[in-house]
Amino acid sequence: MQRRHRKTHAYMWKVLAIFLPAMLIAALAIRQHGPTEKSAVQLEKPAAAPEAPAAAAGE
Amino acid sequence: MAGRMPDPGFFVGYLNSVPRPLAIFLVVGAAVLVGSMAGLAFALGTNVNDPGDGTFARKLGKQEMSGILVENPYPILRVRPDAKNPEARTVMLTVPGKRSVKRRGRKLFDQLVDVKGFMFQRGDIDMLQVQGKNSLKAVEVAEGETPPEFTPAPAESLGRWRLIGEICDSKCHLGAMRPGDGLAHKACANLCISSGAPPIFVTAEEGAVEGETFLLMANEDGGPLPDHFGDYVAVLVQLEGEVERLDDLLVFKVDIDATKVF
Amino acid sequence: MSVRYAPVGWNRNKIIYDVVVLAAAVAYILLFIKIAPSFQDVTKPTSGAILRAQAFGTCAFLMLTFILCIGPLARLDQRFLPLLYNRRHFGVITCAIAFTHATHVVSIYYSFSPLNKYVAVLASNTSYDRFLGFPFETFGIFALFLLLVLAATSHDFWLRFLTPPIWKAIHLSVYVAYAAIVCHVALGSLQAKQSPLLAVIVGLSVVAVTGLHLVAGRIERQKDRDTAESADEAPWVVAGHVDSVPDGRGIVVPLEGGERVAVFRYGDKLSALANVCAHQNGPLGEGRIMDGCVTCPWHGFQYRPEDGCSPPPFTEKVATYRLKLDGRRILLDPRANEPGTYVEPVRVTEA
Repeated sequence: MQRRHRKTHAYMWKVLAIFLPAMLIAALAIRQHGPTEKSAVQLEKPAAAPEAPAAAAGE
Repeated sequence: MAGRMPDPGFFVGYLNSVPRPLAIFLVVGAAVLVGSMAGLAFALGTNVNDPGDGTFARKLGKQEMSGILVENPYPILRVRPDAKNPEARTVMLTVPGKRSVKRRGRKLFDQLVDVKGFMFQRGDIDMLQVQGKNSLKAVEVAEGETPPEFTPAPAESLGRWRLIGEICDSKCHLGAMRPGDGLAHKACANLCISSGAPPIFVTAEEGAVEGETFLLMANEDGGPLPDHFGDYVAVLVQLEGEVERLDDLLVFKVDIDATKVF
Repeated sequence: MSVRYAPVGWNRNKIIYDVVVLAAAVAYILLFIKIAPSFQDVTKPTSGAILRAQAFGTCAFLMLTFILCIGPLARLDQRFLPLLYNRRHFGVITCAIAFTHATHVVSIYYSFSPLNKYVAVLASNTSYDRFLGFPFETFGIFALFLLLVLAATSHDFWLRFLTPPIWKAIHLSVYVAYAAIVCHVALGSLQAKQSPLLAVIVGLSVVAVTGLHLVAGRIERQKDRDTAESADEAPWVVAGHVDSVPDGRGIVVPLEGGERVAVFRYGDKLSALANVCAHQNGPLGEGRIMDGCVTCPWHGFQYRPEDGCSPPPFTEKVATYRLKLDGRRILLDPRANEPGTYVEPVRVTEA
């Protein structure tokens, strides 16, 4: 291989030797896992239904 | 290198003869290549996530139902109970491909319609793919007959909830493809939702909301999600909002901009 | 030049090579698609088109891993040189498999919508501002583009048309393609998988490819540092000892500045020429004398040792160097002659 190509190879692989493992580790680090807390929490109960209207006038 | 091991011979590609030690080495190498590829195929091919039981239930045959066609948040059918469908139901609607029912049903919203098609089913949720000739039309009333009346039950509020789960496109997740969720599927999910497939929220735990896992998504005002929902699709998120019940379908009304990504 | 020299065209070794590579690929695809699903622990099987996309995608990645290991392995152990000979066919087959993966992906994920499927590939996921959910498809498209360029220019016609330095520079982009594919998998499939198996395999691929290149690079750097010592009379340097050059073989002499010279012995004669083959920069000094010619260990290109010319009808030339003997020491003039310059061989008398 010519010196120029040996140098280019060396440079590229120095960069990739850092970049490739870093990318892999970063990708594994951001992987999402199931939540540790409950996946459904009721924050507010529904408002109570309005009471039935009073008996017809006259009762 | 040459001094460290016996001379394997000199290989010249365009000559038929290959020195014997080298030939043996290459035969072993070929076997290693083919064998390792075979082993890796088996390992990777068997080691898959369970894509779930979403199904395009063609074998159930063509379904027919009638009900009120509702536009918001996404086209759904408030099914009128009858002999074939005695229970009150609300069914999400779709059409073949990645398209919306809106175009076909644009003149029929809030009317009583007859619908025909095939079901997608997964767990406690299903969806009707409207397909075939005359598969979506207003209920026909014979001359002299009284048009049938049907008023769907009002939405029942279940209060305000904080949910953790994933936004999926209903069509893929319910069986158009398996798997129909996860980051590898994100672009497809975005494409489906933006083309009209209703988005659903799938809780991280099964049956998390009143025994249900899947909720139809809506904006806080009850309309469809805004256009920029795409960033939050296919990732584990936390959302807060009102949950309503429409018969057997839960609707989750959220402010998408308040999404928290885990 | 030997009449057996054939720079282009099929021969038995290329056919065997291609049969083995295709056998590996076919075995992979068939096992993945037809056999493995029966052993999956799933409620319902993966959709057919997705399964095929996964099969072809993983196959292409693994094949590229093997391809990239060939270069450094051939530097570390000459028994791997035959794998270098037809490596470009391996690359073209890999490109075809990667292309098939892309075809399946587009047909299942991006079709059937009102949007044109090729527009949809780029428009469906635009979350470029975040790591989680980043449009990993873009890395795949970029890698596929590079692989297609490499496959399209793999023939020797392009080597001559573009000239070797430009052709070699283009083909160095295979490393960029590999990096793009690692990103594609890391931000895509790896995010979706629950099992660690894919992560382990990708990790092993990165370790193997990177590690082998670093080790081979270190050895090359060491060779560059072991430059020939100067002789008493400038500018001559000591190339080696007559007895260290076997008949029919050569030694490689590293010079100051990084260039290398190959010194060959054939019978009782010694000649020196540039270590770099004019074809694809193969290490001539690691070759042998065949039919009176220095034969490159990579693709069998040949050069007359006394003038560095390929025998007719071939026209390749390499630079030659002057030699002289000082007792049993071989002295080399590090000033290269023009390629094709005749230099009288040095005659060796037996000790």
